[in-house]
Amino acid sequence: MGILDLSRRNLMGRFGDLARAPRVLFGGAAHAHDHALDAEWLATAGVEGGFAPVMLGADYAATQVKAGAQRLHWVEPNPDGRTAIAVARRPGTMAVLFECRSGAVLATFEPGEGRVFSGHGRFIEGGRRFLAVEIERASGQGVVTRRVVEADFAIEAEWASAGIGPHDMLPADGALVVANGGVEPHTPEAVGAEVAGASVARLDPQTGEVRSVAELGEDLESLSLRHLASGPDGLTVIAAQDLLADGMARPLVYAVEGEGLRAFDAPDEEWRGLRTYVGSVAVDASGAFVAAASPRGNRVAVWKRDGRFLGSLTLVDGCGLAPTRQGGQFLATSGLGEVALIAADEEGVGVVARRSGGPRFDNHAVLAAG
Amino acid sequence: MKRSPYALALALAGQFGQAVQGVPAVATVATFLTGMFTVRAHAAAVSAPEVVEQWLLPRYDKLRTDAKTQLAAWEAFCKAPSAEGVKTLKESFTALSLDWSGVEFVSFGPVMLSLRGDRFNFFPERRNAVGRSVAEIIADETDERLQPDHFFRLSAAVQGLPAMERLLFDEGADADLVSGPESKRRCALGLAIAGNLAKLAGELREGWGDRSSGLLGQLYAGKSDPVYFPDPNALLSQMVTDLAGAYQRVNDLRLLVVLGKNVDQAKPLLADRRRSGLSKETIVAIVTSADALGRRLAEGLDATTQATIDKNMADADAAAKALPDDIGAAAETEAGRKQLGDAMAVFKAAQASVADPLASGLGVPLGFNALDGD
Repeated sequence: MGILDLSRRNLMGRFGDLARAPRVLFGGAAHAHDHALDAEWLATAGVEGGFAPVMLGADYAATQVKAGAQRLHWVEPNPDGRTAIAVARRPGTMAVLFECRSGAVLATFEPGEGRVFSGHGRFIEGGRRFLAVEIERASGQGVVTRRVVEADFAIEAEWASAGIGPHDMLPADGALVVANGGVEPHTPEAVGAEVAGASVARLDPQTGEVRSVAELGEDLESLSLRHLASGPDGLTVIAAQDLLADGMARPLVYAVEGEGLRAFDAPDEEWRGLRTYVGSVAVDASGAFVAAASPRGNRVAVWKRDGRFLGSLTLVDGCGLAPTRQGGQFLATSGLGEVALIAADEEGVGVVARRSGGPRFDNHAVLAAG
Repeated sequence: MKRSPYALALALAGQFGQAVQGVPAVATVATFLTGMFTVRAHAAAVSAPEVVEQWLLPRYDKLRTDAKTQLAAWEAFCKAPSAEGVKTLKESFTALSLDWSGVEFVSFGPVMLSLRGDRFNFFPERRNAVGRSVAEIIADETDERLQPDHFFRLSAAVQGLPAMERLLFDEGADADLVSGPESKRRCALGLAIAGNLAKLAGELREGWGDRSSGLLGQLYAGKSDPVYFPDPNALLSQMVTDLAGAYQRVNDLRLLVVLGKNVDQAKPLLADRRRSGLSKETIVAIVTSADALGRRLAEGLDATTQATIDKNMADADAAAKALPDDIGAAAETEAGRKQLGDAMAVFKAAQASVADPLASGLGVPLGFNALDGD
């Protein structure tokens, strides 16, 4: 029912066409580039003609990759620093491997039969394997596929995500941590739903064996656990979307600790100010700070790693969040084309730089591999 | 010397004078700009401050006036409760509720802070949050929480229009207000809600100011605001985004949720304003107000675009006005469901026209993360 569902129908072009014909992503008249670019951050965006990966330079200027018809969600940078994969948002069926300096499309791949991508995936093993989060169309059951990059992303293993509606996943603390969101918000199943059925599963990274499944308590069962982030020393956090709007101020950010979850702290009014929805979460380069963005609340909130609330600030339709290479900083992007550099220290948070006029940034931004 | 971002924000806070009820200081001030601020190429054919002045502020003026009228009605009623007085209270509620519907989709300006929108109209309600809050506070005989300096801190569920609707339209409400053991308490609660709504309506209007003061003055002067308008040029984007959201709010929150998956799973009790019998009129108020905004924003665009927008808005107006009076009851019959479904298609077309050709014609991006986030 979203605006994008409507606009999407009006958009022409497909990534498939893009991959077959002009193999170079930079090719649009409005954003023609024939030179290499050093991308500091990667993101996805709504652009003229559809949706595209975008690259942000050190000056926060966005360079658009040519558009396709499927709305993209997460961009996963390869640890080798050369390539990245943009994954289609559910119910999309396209993932695109592109070269970060030239913009060339190197490969595209699809989910397993009868499945859609959740929007997220991660490189592992130094970029030789890619883990994709997929959802069975019929049942909503989650599947994590392990793919061989050099074998055209052939699936070499696939495991149950131990839950329905998986969304994000990352390797942390010797395990694969999967956010099983449960009932997908904005679907017919979510209408009137009060129990999300979400969980955080920890899988063995070699065998996919389920090591643990953590669920929230009864008073938090309306939360859909959706987005994950981790810091340099292993701090892993997860952010939620609340299916309910019943006036209760439920924590929407948690640390994943062992087999359980620890709620972050904030005044009730701050939680309510996020208006039931955190769209992305990030840990800064030092691992000392955690930020969460709520485009519905037009806010970015920041905590210390121990869960102590530091403050929040306004960013209209802001959702994308990524660390910078400097501790105590976050890059935030908005659906209105704004990029903000947010700084945090022991005393609070503030915006220290801002750039307008970019594309309609989608949910996520990510720091490019160094 | 390295200054903390918080210290810098506080230093700037003094200049901007942001002191907002109920919001931690850092939340209201911790946004500031550097020399990196860049101005968007301004292709817009319409002046955002003028749209605020001509479309939004008259609606906020009426909201403020009707909120004051409601408060006066409650003050008079509580001095001399009567059946005739209840009728006046209901009329004042109806006027204010429909005023609010005309601006509920506006998310920019003073409404974005202190949860003013939620406090004015806690919606959608789930798990009977309003009913439970109202019952609980009626049962509490102490006066402290109803005092203005305390009431605004209570749950948003008990502060605004839905709580007032319960008080006025729940079964037996008339008699309970006029006489009986709870009448005094119910009167005090009505007075507290009416006072809160009048205060909120005042804050919404007064925060905007006029051409030489307040947020509107800042906009006309082209000045950014650290909280409301970090980039004044983004205001048109916010307007079209909110406008698109208006139709989506009608479809998703007023119709789809009531329709359920099929006739057996219809949820008539989720129809907005069903108690006051305003389920249709609420949608009409939202859609006609949105349509007026769409037409206003299209002024200055080429004739073809204007004609397209005008047709889509006119169709939406007509579809809203043709809705059945009782949305909940309609969801329980196949014929009614078709009627609701047809209207949804028209609203969806209006929403699509906001993206293209309106936003595209204005040359502004349509924000989207807030509406259908994943």
